[in-house]
Amino acid sequence: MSSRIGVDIGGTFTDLIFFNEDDGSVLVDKVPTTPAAPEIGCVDAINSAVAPDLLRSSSYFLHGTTVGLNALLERKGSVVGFLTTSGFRDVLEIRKGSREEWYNVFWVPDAPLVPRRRRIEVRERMLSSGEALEPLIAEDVIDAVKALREQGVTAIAVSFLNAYMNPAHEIEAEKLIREAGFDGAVSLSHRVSGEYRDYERSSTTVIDAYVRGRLSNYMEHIESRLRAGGFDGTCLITRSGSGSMTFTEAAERPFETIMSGPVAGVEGAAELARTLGLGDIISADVGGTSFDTALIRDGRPQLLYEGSVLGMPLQTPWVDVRSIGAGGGSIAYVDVGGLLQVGPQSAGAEPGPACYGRGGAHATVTDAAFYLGMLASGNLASGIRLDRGKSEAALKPLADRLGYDLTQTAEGIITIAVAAMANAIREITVEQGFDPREMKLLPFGGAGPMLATELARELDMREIIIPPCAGNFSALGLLTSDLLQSAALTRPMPLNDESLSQANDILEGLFKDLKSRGSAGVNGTDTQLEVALDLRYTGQEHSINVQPDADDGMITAAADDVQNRFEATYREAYGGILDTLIEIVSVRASVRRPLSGSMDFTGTESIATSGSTDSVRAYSFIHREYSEFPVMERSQLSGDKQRKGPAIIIEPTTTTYVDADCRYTVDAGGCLRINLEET
Amino acid sequence: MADVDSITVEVIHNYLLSAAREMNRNLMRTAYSTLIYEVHDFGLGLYDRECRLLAEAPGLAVFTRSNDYGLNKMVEFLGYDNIHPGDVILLNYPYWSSTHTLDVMAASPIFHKDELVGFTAVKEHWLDLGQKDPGYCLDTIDLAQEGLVFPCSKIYSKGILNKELEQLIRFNSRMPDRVIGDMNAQISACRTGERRVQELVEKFGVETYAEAVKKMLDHGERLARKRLAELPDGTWTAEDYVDDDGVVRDRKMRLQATVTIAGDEMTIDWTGSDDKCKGPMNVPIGTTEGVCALVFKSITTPDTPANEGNFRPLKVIAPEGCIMNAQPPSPTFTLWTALIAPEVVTKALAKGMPDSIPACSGGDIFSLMGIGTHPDTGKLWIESTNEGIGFGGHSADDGESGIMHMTEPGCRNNPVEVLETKAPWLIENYGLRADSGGAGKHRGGLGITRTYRFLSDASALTLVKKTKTSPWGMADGEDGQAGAVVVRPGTEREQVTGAIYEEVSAGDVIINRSGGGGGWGNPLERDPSLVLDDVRNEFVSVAAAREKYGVIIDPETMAIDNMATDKLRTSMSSALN
Repeated sequence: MSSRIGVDIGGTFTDLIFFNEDDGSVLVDKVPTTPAAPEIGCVDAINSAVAPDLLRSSSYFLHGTTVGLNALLERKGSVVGFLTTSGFRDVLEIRKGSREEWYNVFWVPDAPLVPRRRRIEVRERMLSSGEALEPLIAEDVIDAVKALREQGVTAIAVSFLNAYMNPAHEIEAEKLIREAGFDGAVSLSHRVSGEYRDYERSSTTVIDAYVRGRLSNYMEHIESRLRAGGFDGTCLITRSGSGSMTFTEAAERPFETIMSGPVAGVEGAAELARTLGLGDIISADVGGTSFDTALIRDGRPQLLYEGSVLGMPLQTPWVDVRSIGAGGGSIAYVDVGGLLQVGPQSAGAEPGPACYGRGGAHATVTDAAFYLGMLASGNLASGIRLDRGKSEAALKPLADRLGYDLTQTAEGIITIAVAAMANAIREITVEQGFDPREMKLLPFGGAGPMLATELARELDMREIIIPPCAGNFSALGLLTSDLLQSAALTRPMPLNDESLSQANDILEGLFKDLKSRGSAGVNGTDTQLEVALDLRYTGQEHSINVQPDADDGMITAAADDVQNRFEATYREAYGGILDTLIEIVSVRASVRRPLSGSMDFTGTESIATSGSTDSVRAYSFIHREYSEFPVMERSQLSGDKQRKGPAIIIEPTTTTYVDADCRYTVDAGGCLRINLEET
Repeated sequence: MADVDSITVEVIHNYLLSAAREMNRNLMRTAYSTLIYEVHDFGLGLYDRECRLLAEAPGLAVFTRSNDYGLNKMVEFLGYDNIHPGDVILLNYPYWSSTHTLDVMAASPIFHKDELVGFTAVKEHWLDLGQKDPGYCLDTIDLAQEGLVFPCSKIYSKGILNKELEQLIRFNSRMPDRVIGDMNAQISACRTGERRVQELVEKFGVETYAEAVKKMLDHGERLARKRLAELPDGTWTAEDYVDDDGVVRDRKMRLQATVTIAGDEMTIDWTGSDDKCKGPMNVPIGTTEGVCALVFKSITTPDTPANEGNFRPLKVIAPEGCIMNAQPPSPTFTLWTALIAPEVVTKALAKGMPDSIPACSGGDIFSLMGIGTHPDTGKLWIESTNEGIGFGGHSADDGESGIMHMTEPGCRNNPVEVLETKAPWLIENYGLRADSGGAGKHRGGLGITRTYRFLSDASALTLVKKTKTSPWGMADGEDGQAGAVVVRPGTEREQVTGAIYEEVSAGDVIINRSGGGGGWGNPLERDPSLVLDDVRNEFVSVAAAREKYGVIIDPETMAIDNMATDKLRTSMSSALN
């Protein structure tokens, strides 16, 4: 039996979901996050929602958290000292040198996590060939540890030049640091990442050292309290690069969890795409402040191999989720030039949109939608009853400045918010050479289903799939993730059969390393070894990730086959190929283990709401006029045949708006499917 | 005329910006040249049929508006009657295209059915067009030495490739494959822009589109005028110097800008700048307009995307034949004058609004390039990188250290580890230069130093034209330390210079030192605890803390001697008065 508990901690709410494998039932809960100590809120939520016998019989606890990210945001991590090669301590501060706000000459980046006085140089030098030009001077390390301890350092990050080629000096330095009596966390750059680029690897190493203490304590607290409650299963945490890792491994590699927040929903979307054979889909997660979108092709989200947090790079796999400041709480305003704008400022949860009646005075996307009737009677699951008068009062000043009536103003707010979201989707599709019109839209989050038809129309997409538990879909997504570990090593070499054989030697080492990482307690069913190469045309910097044919973690493809695959990928993305030699840049290995037991959440029954199903007058965007919209309970639509819009479909944590030109039905998998008519 | 609501205007505006970004991405990913995908040496945008800029996504800020002048010249030269669907037109005649010959503009008309609705324009740096020297030229004396020129030549005519022109390019370039590859990337970016605008016009119709564009540009104008009206009126003049013209090496060249703000209009007048020079430091008028536009944008509407409307309140004057308005056949290859010029404008503005303008930055982009045959592979290698500089202190804060020049905010430095895998270089250090930031109540940011040891014989090219004058301080702040390129330090052949193009031998060392920013405000008014913090971080030495800031710090205990500091500051103040 493999019952699972998922808890996703967001900025405002903690979402809980429990999947009972015995009967396939799902239990959902939403409680306010306790920002000062989210670990306490997390366990309290479990204890209040999941009965003790169910907790004892659960196999997995899966977790998504922003605790690492918050430590960075609030600058509340360890006091880190940084050891590096003599002559290079400022690499962390020089960054890439770029300015984010182009025309703003006053723009400054955030200060580095380690100030210059805690960045200490030691004499040593590796060449890019891996040969030692100068040995590590032990005395320098010992002096540095002494100086750092005097400055109250609790964690040390070590990043030497070219350590990705030869880590000997970093390993020696760690030994010296321990011999000098330092017992805090030590992060070595080559363990964090085997890839080149000194600034990026150093930044990742420092982030690792910075968040490790906080994240370890946090996970220990959760695990020990779950154990005390009789939980005997495995604790897992989501990775920024999809999949999950055990708490034990996460304590060693905390930097891999930094962006676990928006990834869970994308994982769920990918699982749904695989289970239902949906083909290529675009996820559209609309919350209170942000819109997060990702492209899922062949059942997997698109991966990047470098992420970034607050301007700091992280050399680790990263699901390509694009976020913009557009959500239900985004504030509309008229700019000094007289044009209507929406976001990125948000009213957040407090005070929230004007119609929440909690003191918010600004018109938000939610106010516009509610004014237009898109939220039906406006009784939300959390007990909030939306106040139409307050929405009108907030919209009025904008309407006056624009010379519009309230409906035109509200329609404008929705149109502009949707246009911004559509542009974010264009960034991950057309701007990468993919056509969204051939794909399906998967909206979720509190405000996703409300805006879905307009968003699909803007992008000329015809099919929308609203998943089960759409309002809590991110938490549901947590439950579906495989255990995943990955490692990479940079070794630039020309592509030929000989270098592929060297790549196999590298892979052997990488898989050995992955096996030595902690993953105890996971009863993986079938372990899959995945292999990939970063390839590029010699002379270019940009590389393309290609999966060569492989067997049991070894590349079996010949160089010609790899070249063909590279060229096909290149042609698909850029329209042509070049007559230039190809080279291998990096070799990538991952181990994927699906969690044992089944996790089929399709067919999950929707939960009934207590809202009214009297029809409402709502605005049709296609007809540009008001008409009667029937209000339907989603839970009543199961197994239903196709119906014609318009309609407003309600469920506990979200509301779906279906315009007049759409048809909708609930399929056997419990998904609400909406089709737009050809125009 | 269609009546277009403001919501449609905003939707079309955002769509155009997305289309320009897509062109940018398309170009960067398909380009051959590191100058494009690492240094972002390109500028691109979308235009309406009157050649007015609608949306852009340049790689470098110095390319803001950089195609406006060239596109207008192209239409003037060819005439609308000779522009057809499927055409792609190349222009690099510098006095029209408004940069040097190697920055080739490709432009394509956008047609909706049979109607011309706009243009795309993509300018990018081509690696070689048979100019006098490989890589870059520092000492040309006329246009004929600067390579092949395209005076609005169609590489595609009605959708058909002009093979003769392609061959002409191939046979005139030292790197034909790379150049043709980059050209194709550029054309593909043009096509992307065409397609996206066609989709947009298809959706909204020609009339609505044209009206929305008009309203969008008027809106851009209103934003700029509103901000200008808030700035003080007046006329201010400032000057600065470029090291030399590349041919006559012992004479600095003077730049002078007179800036006038009157109500909601601004004029920048370069009268008083030196006459044309012998070497390739002359600037075409379109480039002068571009750099003025960059400064104008940064003080009026830094937070919104650029369009033609933004720049309507700006007038630029440069007398024909002066260094800021090059006439044929003056050489224009090096162009660096245009990098120094923006801060001549800010220096003038600072006189009228000292609280809104920072002191001078390190002043240049500190480019270094190596070219040679790699001893391990026997293949040609070319690697280059630009360095960050110190920014000037300003009324609110210290200047930032080691950040890219205002003309190239999106540029990224090349990592040490990447350079060492590609080039036979050992990089010996890479760090911030202590004491390079000008002293001030708000200190100037620090410059950078990076030391390269060549491991095999090669050619070295460095391009820095602001080493002979220091980055100016403001409001009693001190100057920052100027940058310099040091060739073969500590040897008999040591040179401290800016721009070189010469052969180096295995074992030779070049140090690239970028300039620090000027300080803002009297250094004696800097909070001593901030001075101590700087000393602890070794941004400022103990000696400089005493000499410049009057703060006495014990190097052993790292504590401020308050009494001695008060005394020293008092005596230093009275010496000043």
